[in-house]
Amino acid sequence: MLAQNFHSFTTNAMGATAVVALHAAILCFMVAALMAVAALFQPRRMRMLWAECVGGAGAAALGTYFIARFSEAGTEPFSNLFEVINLAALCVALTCFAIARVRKLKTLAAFAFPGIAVIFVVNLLFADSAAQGRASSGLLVVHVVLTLMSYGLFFMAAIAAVMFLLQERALKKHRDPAVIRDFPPLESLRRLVNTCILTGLPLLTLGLGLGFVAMSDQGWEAILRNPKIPPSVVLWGVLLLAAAGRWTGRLHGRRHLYMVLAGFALVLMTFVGLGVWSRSQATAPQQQEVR
Amino acid sequence: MQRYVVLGVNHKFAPLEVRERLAYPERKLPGALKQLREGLPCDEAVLLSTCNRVEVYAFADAADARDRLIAALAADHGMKPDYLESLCYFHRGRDAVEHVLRVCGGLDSLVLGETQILSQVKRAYLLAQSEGATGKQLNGLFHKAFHVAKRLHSETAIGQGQVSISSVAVRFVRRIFDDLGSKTALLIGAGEVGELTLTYLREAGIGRVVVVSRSLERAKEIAERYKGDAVPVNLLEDYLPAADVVITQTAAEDRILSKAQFAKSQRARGYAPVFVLDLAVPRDVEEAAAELDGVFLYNVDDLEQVVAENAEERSRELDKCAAIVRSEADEFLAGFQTYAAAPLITELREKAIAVKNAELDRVFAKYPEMPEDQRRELAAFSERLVNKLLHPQIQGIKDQAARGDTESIRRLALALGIDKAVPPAPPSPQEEAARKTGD
Repeated sequence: MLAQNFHSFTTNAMGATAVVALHAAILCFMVAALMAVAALFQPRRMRMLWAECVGGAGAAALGTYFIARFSEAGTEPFSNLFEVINLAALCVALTCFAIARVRKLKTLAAFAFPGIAVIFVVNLLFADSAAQGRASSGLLVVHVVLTLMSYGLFFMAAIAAVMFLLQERALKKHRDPAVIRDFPPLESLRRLVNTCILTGLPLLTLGLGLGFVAMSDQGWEAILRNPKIPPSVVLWGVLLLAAAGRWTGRLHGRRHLYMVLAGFALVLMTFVGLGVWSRSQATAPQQQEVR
Repeated sequence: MQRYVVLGVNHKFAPLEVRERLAYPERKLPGALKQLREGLPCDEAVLLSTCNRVEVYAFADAADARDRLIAALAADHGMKPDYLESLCYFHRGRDAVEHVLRVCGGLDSLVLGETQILSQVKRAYLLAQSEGATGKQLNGLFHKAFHVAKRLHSETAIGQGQVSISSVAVRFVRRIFDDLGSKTALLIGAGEVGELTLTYLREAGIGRVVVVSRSLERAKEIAERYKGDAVPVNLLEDYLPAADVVITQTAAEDRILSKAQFAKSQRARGYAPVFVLDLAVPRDVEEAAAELDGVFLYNVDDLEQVVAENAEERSRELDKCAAIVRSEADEFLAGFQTYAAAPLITELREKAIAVKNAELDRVFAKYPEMPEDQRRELAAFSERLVNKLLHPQIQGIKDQAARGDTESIRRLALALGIDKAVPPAPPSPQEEAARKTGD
C-alpha cells in the first residue's frame, strides 16, 4: 500500500528524471541505514565508510531530484510539504556528513541514516496529503527552510545525546561493551549537543518569527488555531530553558540531555502527529460524502 | 620445505634472567647475524631479539641445524649448550612456517594479540635484508607472515580490548576526553601501577601532571620524572578542581577523598567530567563519590574485571586464528613446493628444446634449398610437438610438488639425468630423532 500510494503519487506529480532520482535516493538511504547499523554492531564485517558512501550516493540522488524538480516546476518544491520534507531529509544528510567530518564522529551515520529512512517512510505514508500542504509566500518559504534547518540540528543534538547517555551509563557501570567502543568521547558528544542547540535555537527563533510575520494578515486567531504552532513554541521554550540552564550551570549532566531529547521528541510528535491529523481531516469529509 | 627452521627462547620456556642474557643489543645484531649464518651455514637468516623472545629464523640445508644454532647462540653468550638446549624450542618445515605466522600475529605473545611484536619482527627482517641475509625463501615467508598478521587483526577480535589495568584505565580516560593535551592528571601517593598509568597517560599526550605526596621530596622526585609539578598534601583540596584525571595510590588506612570534597570540586568545575582511578587497598576515595554528576570512579577490581573480560574475549578468537594460520600455511607451502620444482621443470624444458634445435639444425643442413616459409613451418611444428609432449609431464611434476611428494620428483629427475636441479633431501623427523639419540 505504501509503495502503491507513493508510486501513483510520484508518477502523476513529477517528471521521469525526478521520479527515478527520488526512488534511487530512498533506496540508497534505506540500504545505507541497514549498512550503518550493521557497521555499528559488526565493525569487522561492515565498514561505516561503505554506509557513508551509499548514503552519499543517496544524497547525490536527492540533490539530482531537486535540480530536476526546480528545472521542471520552478520554486514549487518549496511550497509543497511532501517536497519540503524531502528537503529536510537532504538537510539532515548534509548536516550529518558535515558534522561527522568536522567532529570526527564515525558512528553518527548509524543514527542519522535510519533517521532519514524514517523521515522518508513517514513522508511516503502521507504522500498525498503532504502534497496538498502549500506555502503561499516567500517569507513562509524562508520560515520553512530555517525551521527545518533548526530541526536538522536538533536531530543531530538528539543523536549525540543518545550516544552520550549510552557512553556515560557504560562508564558509570564500569562496562566496556564492544558496541560502544568506537563511540566518540563524552567531551566531544557534549560539545556537539551544545553546538547544535546553540546554533539551532536562533534559527528556530528566526524561523518562528518569520512564520508569525508571514501569517499576521490572517489574524492571531488563525495563527493560534494552526496545530503546528503550539508544539513549536513549546519546543522553543524547552530548548531555551535547556540552553539557559546549561549556561547558568543550573542544568547539567543527564538532566540537560533528557531535556534536549524531550525537545526532539516534541519535534517528532509535531510532525508525525500533524501528518496523522491532516490525513484524518482530509479523509473525514470524503467519508461523509460517501454516506 | 624442511629447510625452514626456527630456534628460539621465549617467555613461556625461559625465565627473565636467561632472556636477559640472550638478548642482543641493537648495535650487536648485524655481527650476531653474520656469525649465525656462518655457523649454520646458510644464506638466509633473520635474528629477532625482544624482551620476551630471541629467535633465529633460517633457511638451511644442514640436517643438524638445531645443534649448530644452539652451539652458536651459547658460544655468543657464554652459556653451556646443554643448559640452553633445555630452555629452547626448535621447529622445522611446516611447524617453523606456522610458528613464524603465529609470532607475527601476536598469537605467541605474552599479551595475546598484541601488535608490538609485528613491528619488532619487521625491524628484524629489514635489518637482515639490509645485511643481505634474506633471499627468495625468507622474503616469501615474512611477506606471508605480515599478510597473515593483518588478516588476523582485521578478521578476528584477537587485538580488541586492552588487557592490562593501566592500559584499560587510559582507554576509559580516552572515552571521556577528546583532547588530552589540555587536561591535568593528579597523582596522589606513589605506587607502581599508578606511575605506570601516568606513563601511559604521558604517552597519550596528557597536558599537565601534578604529584601530591606526604613527602614533598618524594613528590618532587616523581614529578621530575614526568615533567610535572609537586604539591604538598595539605594543598590537595585546592588542586582537586583543576584535575581531570585523579590517580590515587596511598597507604592511608582511611579515605582521603570524600564525596563532599568531590561535590565541591565538581561545582567549581561546572560538572565537567573527572576520571578517578583509586588503586589503593584499602581504598582512598569514598565510594559514594561515584554518584556525583561527571565523576567516573574506578578501583582495581573494576579494572581487573574489564581486563578479564577482554582477555576472555580475545581467547575466544583463538580457534578462528588457528584456522587462518593453518590455511595460510597450507597456501604458502603449496606455493613453495611448486616453486621448489621450478629448477627441474626449467631443466627439463631446456633439455627438450636443445634436442629439438639440434634435430632442426640437422634437417636444415640436409636440405639447404628448403624455402624459408617451409623452414618456419617446420620450426613451429617442432615447437608445438615439444610443448604438447612436455605438458602432461610438467603438470605431473607440479601436482607432485604441490602434494609435497619430493621423493617422486627426485626419482624422476634422476631418471632423466638432471638431478642437479633437485636439492638433496632433508632428514625426516624420524631420522633426525634417531641421529640425536645416537641410534
